[in-house]
Amino acid sequence: MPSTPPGSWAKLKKASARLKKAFLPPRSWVILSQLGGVFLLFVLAVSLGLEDRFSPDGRKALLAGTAFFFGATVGVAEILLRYRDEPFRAASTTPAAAYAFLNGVISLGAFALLLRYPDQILPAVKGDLVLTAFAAGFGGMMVARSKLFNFQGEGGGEYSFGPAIVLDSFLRTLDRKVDRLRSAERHRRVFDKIHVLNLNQPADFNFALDYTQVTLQSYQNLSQAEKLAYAEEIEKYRGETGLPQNLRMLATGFALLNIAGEDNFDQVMADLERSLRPAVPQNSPQ
Amino acid sequence: MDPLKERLSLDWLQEARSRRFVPVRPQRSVSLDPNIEDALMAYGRKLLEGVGEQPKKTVHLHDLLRQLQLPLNDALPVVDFLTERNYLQTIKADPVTLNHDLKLTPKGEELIAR
Repeated sequence: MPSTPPGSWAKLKKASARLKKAFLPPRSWVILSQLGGVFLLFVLAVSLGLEDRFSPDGRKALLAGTAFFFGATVGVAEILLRYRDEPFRAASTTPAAAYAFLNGVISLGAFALLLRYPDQILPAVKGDLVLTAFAAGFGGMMVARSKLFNFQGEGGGEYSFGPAIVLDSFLRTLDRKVDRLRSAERHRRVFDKIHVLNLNQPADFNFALDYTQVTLQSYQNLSQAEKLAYAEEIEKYRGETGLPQNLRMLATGFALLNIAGEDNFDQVMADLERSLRPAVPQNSPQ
Repeated sequence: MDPLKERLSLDWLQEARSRRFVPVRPQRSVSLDPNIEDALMAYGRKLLEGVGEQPKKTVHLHDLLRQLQLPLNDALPVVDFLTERNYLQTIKADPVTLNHDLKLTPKGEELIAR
């Protein structure tokens, strides 16, 4: 159980109410909905038959572009899911753009193959360019991620063979690149925000841990499982007495940053600092 | 016990074990909790930048901490971690006062240059 001293719950409740008021929909969700809108417009334009206004070659080009767009979207979605703290910042890096482009090219290749060999690959899409574009856009990625067979090495390690190796290696490289770009920024941000808290007293440390946990109640889309996982992490750091409190709080900061993102993390830390050290009211002259 | 587990493919037991928290005093062979590792790196980056600003990239630990206004208690596990990971080298250890002489390694220089 959290060892929060009496009186702290009132402070926590007040802070939670302030956070709920302060939190706007995160910027990332606004961008995501805009991207989703563009995606839907694309799909609608194709589904409503607007491509019929083009010449046969123009139709093929438009639907090839659609297949490319679908493939690239799958790649971007993968990156967004991979980097939880600032997914859009990760997706806007050059390596991430290269990964999305590679995904698009694979879908484009699948589209060309389906046009050339429909009978051998997928007879159901023969003669239907729209269906071909959809199948190539999403199905191409399925083929690209397939593993033909697994091979067990002498050391017990398992190695996969198939097109997935290419994408996996690319994704690993992307991981390293994005991590390098992001890690220094993350380290500085969390260190600067936590260092000023100066949590040397156990009561302050426990209050800070409870406070970060309370802030999670402000998130409407966070699942119970995620909240529970965070709570477990917090308790783990609370109990790890072999590590100084400031380091444990830094670890908590990283766990929070992964969920909250940078803007909300900054807000939570600023509010936490105010809650830990409330401003002393000035005595007005009599 | 372990060979039997392997024969029965109780992989989930392995997974549960790997989820357990790995405490402080990191060792090269042990993988740390990712957030603890990030915490050590975040603190460590500050120390490495401090050492990097010294003329010969060498410093007494106490002088460095005084300059950065960081407590010794917090810094010691970080220095251990950085030494383990070869970002810092302990030129001369002082087991009594813990005022070690530290030097930035090429790997440490590379890290702070990013």
